[in-house]
Amino acid sequence: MSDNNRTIVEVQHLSKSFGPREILKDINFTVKKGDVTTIIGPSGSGKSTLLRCLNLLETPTSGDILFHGQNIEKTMNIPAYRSKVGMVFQSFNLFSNMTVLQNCMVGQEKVLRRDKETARQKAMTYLQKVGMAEYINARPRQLSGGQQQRVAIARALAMEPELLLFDEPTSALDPEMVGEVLAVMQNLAAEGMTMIVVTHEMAFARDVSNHVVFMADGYICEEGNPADLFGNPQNERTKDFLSRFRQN
Amino acid sequence: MKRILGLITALLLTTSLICGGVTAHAADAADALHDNTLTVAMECAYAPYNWTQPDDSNGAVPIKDSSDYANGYDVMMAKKIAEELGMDLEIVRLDWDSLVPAVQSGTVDCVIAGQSITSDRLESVDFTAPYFYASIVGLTRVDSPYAQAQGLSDLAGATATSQLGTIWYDSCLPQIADGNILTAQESAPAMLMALETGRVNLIVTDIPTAKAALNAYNDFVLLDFTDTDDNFVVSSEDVNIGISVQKGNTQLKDAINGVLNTMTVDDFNNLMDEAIAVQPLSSGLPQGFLAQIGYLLQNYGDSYAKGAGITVVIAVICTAIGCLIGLVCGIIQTIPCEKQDGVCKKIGLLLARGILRIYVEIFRGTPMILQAVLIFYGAAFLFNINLNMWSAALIIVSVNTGAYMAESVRGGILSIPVGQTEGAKAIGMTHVQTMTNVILPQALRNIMPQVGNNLIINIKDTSVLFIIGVAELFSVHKGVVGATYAYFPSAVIEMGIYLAMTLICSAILRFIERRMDGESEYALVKQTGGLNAPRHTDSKQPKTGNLDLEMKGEH
Repeated sequence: MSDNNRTIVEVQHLSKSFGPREILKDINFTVKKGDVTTIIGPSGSGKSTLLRCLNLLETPTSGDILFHGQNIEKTMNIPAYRSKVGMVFQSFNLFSNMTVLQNCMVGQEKVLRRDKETARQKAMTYLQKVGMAEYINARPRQLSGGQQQRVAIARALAMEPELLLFDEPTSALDPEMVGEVLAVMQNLAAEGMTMIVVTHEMAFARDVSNHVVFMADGYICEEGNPADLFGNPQNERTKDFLSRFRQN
Repeated sequence: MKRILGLITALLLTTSLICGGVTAHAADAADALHDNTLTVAMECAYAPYNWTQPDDSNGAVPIKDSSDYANGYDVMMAKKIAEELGMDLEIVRLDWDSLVPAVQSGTVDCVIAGQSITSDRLESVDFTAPYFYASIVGLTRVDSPYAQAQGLSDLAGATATSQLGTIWYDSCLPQIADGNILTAQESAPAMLMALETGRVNLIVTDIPTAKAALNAYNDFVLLDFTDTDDNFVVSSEDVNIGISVQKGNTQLKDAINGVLNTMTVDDFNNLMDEAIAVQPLSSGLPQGFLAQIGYLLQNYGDSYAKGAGITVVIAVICTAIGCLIGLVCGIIQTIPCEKQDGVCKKIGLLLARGILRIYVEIFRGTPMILQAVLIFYGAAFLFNINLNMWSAALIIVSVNTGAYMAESVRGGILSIPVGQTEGAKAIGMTHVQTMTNVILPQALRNIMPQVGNNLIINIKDTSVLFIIGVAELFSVHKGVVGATYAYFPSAVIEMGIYLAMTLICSAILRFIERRMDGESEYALVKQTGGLNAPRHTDSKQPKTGNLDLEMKGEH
């Protein structure tokens, strides 16, 4: 499938500083359609900042982000771009003033200008996909963390994005809820969704993704397919990080 | 979005209505003679000179912008003057302290309100010849050591007070040897109350007020030293009661003097006796606290009800407009200013925020009663804009509420977790969409207790609007007390009404808050498609529960 080789996102020489602190240094990588890229690495290595730069929740200090070859900062309407790049947050960020169904419809109606019925049908489709269709009348505070995160995924999917970003989607969850969220993500991967996932779930990175990026100190230290990176890491930082993961 | 647009339209409509009430015409008092209406201001709470009554009995005249009627010596005199001059009479009810500014600014043609012709007042306004000569007397209780006093020297050491801003307080009380002079009282009824409750054992006032008080309080004793050597020393000017007109308005002054010249001192005294005879309290305020409450409710129940209605309407409208003002201010204050924004936007935002800051600080930092005086009389005095009383009231209270709500709204917006904004932005919402769909609905819910606070504060604080003559609930109290001297019973009735109004408003707001919170329970919606559960693909399912063990086992 030639379509699968199409590059969706290309990051070139991206750097980001908060004041004097340089969080990201000369980041380069490419995501092709259908890729499931996981970004792993120690806390503070810049993983989340990189992800947030990708949909401009953080403004890069320098470098370019190309979406289908177009520079998103210079040539694209930012809200329109964001509607094509979904994001799932560590803290869910569901709209507390809306029900589950409204959460999944509001973006379609306001941003994509879909009519109410279409928005409702799409929302129901994706809520069923994540197993939350029974809960359409619930409000976010009435749901468990795992349920909220599944709704958040449905909300992002309802926009039918070309790319889905996950920022440590299971880090705020109790262990027994992690599985239900990972299962949903795994389904999406299996269906060919293009995803970039920042995570500490090594099993997910190893078993589900087809590309792993290891970051430390604002750099990409090593990247490659999961079998190579987990089985035979080249970089000392990567070896160190993975060995600590195995021991604790 | 439609709802927001509706609100904005409503705001614009209201603003245009208020502005429509502002008629910019020259406040030339000579107009009075041309438009053939004599506009006379008085307290309508200063029996027997003037008082408020609920009906037109005994020749009472309707009070402008009110359903009440005015009567008393001043009203009788005003009727006579208007009649002689062939003019229509309009009575405007104003607080004592507002009388001078009202005539100064040309808001009214003249003040007939039992004002002494003092040199201080003469600097601000012109006076006609006296229309009454009010000798100074004392009042005490039967059981007081001064009940038998034969002259001023017998009053030595008395604990005394009188009404604020009168010559009784300013120049008579200091003549009492070793007198213990307490703070001045805000009104004649309050002064009488001080004597009745024993806080003082002497008050000094003029003969009409004293005679009227004797009707209400049968344990009061009149101390009249007139025509003795041991009397209060006052200049004849001090006891001359006059009618004030705008400085330089000789046309009106001469016309009124022409009428007064035809009357003798006996005419004045007879008219005053007539007034005292028809004063409401003369026709029998019953003894006993509960009986007095019953009497007031029976005779003034309508006045209280209308006053309460006006208070509620002003409070609700102004809270609503104030919340809209606060909303706009709060939103402007929280518009994000980012690095890549244009210079114009940055400067505009900075400017708007500066202006809002000044607005908030000024209106939050000064008493509403002074703002009311400044806006109402200042507009007429400085810019010749005669603001309609209701417009002034609505503007003042709304603008005040807006100043408080601006900060509440800003706080409400800032209190929404940043994740809500990020969640909205991440699905492609613009700043405006994020605000209207996500942030404001939550912020508004959070500031509902503040809205409730402001509504309740407004219900109570509209009471300062009596200063510009708005017939709200508290001014009804002043009117009733001015006519009947039944200070305590009326205060108790007012307390009850205010409390009832605030409790009802609290309950309504609680109800609205619960509605905004939505259902506390939710119903599961059974799906028929059978797609409920996420489909797991066995081979790849991560077993996160024992991830560490699994990883260890492999290496």
